[in-house]
Amino acid sequence: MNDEGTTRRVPFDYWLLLCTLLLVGLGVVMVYSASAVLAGERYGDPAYFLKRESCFVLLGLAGMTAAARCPYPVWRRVVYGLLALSALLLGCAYIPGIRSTVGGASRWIHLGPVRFQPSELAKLTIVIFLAYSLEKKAARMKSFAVGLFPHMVIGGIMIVLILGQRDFGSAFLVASILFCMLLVGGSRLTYLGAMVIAALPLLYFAVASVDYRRKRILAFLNPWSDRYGSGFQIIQSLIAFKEGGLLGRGLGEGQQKLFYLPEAHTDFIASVIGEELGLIGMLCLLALYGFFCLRGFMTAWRAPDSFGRYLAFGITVLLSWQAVCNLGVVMGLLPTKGMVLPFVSYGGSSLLVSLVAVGIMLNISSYRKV
Amino acid sequence: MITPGSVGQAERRREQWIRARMAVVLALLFIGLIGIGGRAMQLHLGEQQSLKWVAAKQYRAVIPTAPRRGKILDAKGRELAIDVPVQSIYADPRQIRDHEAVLSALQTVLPLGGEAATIRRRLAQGGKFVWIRRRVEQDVADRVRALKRPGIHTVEETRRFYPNGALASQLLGAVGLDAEPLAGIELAYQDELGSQRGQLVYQRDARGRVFYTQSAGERPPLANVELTLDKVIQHQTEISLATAVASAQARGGVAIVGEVATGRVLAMASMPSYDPNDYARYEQSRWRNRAITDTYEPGSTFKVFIAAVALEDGMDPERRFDCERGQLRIGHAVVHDHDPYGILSLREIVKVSSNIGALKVAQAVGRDRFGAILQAFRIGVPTGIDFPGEVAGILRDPRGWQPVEMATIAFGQGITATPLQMTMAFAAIANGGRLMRPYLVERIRRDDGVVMHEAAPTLVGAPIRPETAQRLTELLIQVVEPGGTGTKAASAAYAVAGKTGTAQKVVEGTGRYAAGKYYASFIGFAPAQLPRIAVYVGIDEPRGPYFGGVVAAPVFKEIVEATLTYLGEPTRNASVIVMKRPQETERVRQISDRAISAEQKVAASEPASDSAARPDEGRFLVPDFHGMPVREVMRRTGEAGVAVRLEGTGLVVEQQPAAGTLLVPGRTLAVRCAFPE
Repeated sequence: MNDEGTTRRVPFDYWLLLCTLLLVGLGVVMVYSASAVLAGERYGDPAYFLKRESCFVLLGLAGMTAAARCPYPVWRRVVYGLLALSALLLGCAYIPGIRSTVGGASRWIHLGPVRFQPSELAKLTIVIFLAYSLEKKAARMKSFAVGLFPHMVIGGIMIVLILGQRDFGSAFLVASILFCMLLVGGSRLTYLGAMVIAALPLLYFAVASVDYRRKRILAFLNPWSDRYGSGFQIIQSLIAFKEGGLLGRGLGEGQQKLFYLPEAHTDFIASVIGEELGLIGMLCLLALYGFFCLRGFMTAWRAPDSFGRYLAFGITVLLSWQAVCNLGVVMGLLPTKGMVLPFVSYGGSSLLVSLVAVGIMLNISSYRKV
Repeated sequence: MITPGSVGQAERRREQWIRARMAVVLALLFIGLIGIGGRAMQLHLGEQQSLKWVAAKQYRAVIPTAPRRGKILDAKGRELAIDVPVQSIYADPRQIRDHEAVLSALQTVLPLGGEAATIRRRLAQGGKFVWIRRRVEQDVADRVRALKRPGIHTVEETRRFYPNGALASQLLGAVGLDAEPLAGIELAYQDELGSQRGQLVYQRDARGRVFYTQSAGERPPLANVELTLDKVIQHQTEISLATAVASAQARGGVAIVGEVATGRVLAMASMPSYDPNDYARYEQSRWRNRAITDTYEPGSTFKVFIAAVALEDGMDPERRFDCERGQLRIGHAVVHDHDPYGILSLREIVKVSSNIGALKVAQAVGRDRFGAILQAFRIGVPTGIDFPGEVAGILRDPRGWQPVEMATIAFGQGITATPLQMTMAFAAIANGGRLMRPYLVERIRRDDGVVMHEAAPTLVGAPIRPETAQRLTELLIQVVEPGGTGTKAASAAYAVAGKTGTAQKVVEGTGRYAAGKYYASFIGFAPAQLPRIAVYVGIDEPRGPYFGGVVAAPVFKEIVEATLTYLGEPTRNASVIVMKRPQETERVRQISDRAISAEQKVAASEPASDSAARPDEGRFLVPDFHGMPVREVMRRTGEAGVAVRLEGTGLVVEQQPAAGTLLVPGRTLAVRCAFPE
């Protein structure tokens, strides 16, 4: 740490940890509830996804512990390595022998017995990179060539690589992170505004050129126009909330997960929560994310240096914004784009990366300015 | 050159900017979360009819499996109609890529024959569901499953099964392929028998498979319909009727057995009949429950009403009428008797069934009284039985009767009635003049024991006084005695009372009587002293002999004997006490109580103890012979092995020992007879 003398150690933020663990715990329970029937049918073992999810949780908690113990300035030193690794893994997802295609999207690569989603790593990498870069260029952030262009190039490459894997959700998240961190980092608002305006035609092209994305948008605008096709998933999700009512059907009692709701244990796990735990459950979930968001910002607020501040801010935005987007999708406020609910949805890569990210934040929270 | 101070200042300003912008992002995120929360409230608590509709629709199984039905049971709980599980095969076109490959694979285990083309076309049309074959044998279903072809599924359905075949088929009705009730009890009690919106018990997943069907506890309980019908009586009645219809080469026939005191229908048979298990093979006419859907001109059985009104109005049974030697002109019509009679008493008119005598009696009682009694017996009015399709028959308003019309109605032509109406009228005579409403459904009870409906005997009216009923019964007993028209109905085992009927049939649509087409019937009840059942037998268009006394009376006797024996009714030699069970002994006592007038009753026959057999088993309970002809005394004692010492001729005026005494076999009974002054 370059200003060794000006920081002191405090205990890390227990509230942030508690909040995270509650979300992870809820996730394990809901993944089991949502996937038991599917798993029983597909693998002959209703607990199949539960077991795997539990392994991911253990792995993730180990990663979180390691990250929490590792002084966060270390990340400055590995940032280019991480960028290279992320780009490499993203590139691997284009190689037919290594990639693995699920539902038309080639987002995964095989790493021995497990599959890994490089875009998850890429999201965290871009946060670390931006935190490092914004701190380094602090004074020159207003300049286009130094403060904006390099970040746009790196971010743009990532986005293009991710879009190529038909992972619109991750690309959107990376773009959001880029925007928010540049905003906070001190970019000119005019540049940022121009960036958004420039992105709109690109966004339109990205959506309109790909058939399934166009369908999703249309389905979002009017799900009833194709009730059994593109609108099916969102209608099923809305039904789940409706059926849940105030108190829900009760844990495990949901019907929508009986194959009505595609990807009930991954992207649409919030629907299962809504159906089984009702409005009460949903509000608790929102409260947990809100609290997480708050503690994350407090960590950023109190961080002793810009790197820690940007890092904590970026991670908080990454996870909270992802939660908001996912919930918006399952509730029919946003078009479907393939985005998991952080900590709660089934998925090893996401959980591991998210928990490591929380570990980094916990570490940041244990440093204060003198 | 930047001074440290200005650097610090710029740094601080930047710091503030960063914090301000962070706060903006935080606020935006919170706005997002709050928006989500609002949306959650809207989704969870809002009324969205379209969503509700979709949810309700998709959770429900659309596989049109036959819903379960309750059973139909007879009076003793024996099964008349039940569900049996069967397998059906269907295809889900969405899961089939190569229709031809699947079809040819299917053909190896299930020859589709001509249906193949239809199925091929339906598969090509797409959708979620195509029946391949309904209701296959278990092994066929197993073999189809063994094919393991994606998209070919089996589903358990139920088939309605009538374990007794054609038994009571016109009453039970039948059930179609998709559990739609087609006729009879099945149709009339569909609301109770059919499972209440049976599909709701299934939960479906989005792949169309049914979940949770194994948890039978969630199914609503089924209701079983319990009939008054007794399977054994119904069976015997059908056999007797079918045999008679066949041997007379008749067009059809009806037989009814009703319980006199309550109006319960114990048996109701129509011929020809059909097998509801294979209902499609039979023409619709066989489905008719002729006892209530068909009307006939009753013929001479109708004379019972003339006799009833005459006796009710106090006419002496011995009052004599001139029967005009078998021929009487009324207006333009000529009324004939089957045999020429001279002077006949009312009693004899009933006994020999004289048409001219009947119309003379009708003239004597008058149009209004005759019409009134018919209305009181509810002729021309539906009985109100709990079974669909009942017709009223035609009885014109008596005030409009012309003399000829009244004359013919007196002997049962020119009006129509259903067999059930006539049965209930006779049952009313047997029941001391109390007309009951007939009923077929005793109760409707759910599997879980909840009784949804319980029938109770309903009194419709009292057309005649008990004394009149008693006297009328005596006239009707004579009908089966020697010289009467119904001798073939007489039973050695039970005293019966009844009336023959031989009606000429009207050619449909013309109003003219058809030559050689008759409706032969016999209606009566038994045991005559304390009637328990009323029985109707009607044979439609017998070939060869056509008199009711020849064609229908023997069937009546057969049904009476079979039914009463089955019911454990003591035979007419009931005075021989052989009862093994107390309640039967009690019945014997009732009969003898009736035979013995109140003053002469002797306390010899104490109610049986609860032990299995009485010590006086095999002994002869002496009845009251006073006023009986010798022949009756001989008949009653004949089978008891009691010697009778006779003195004089005529009717019994004295007897030794007194009524109510128990005689050991071998002892002598002495009676003295004389003609009344």
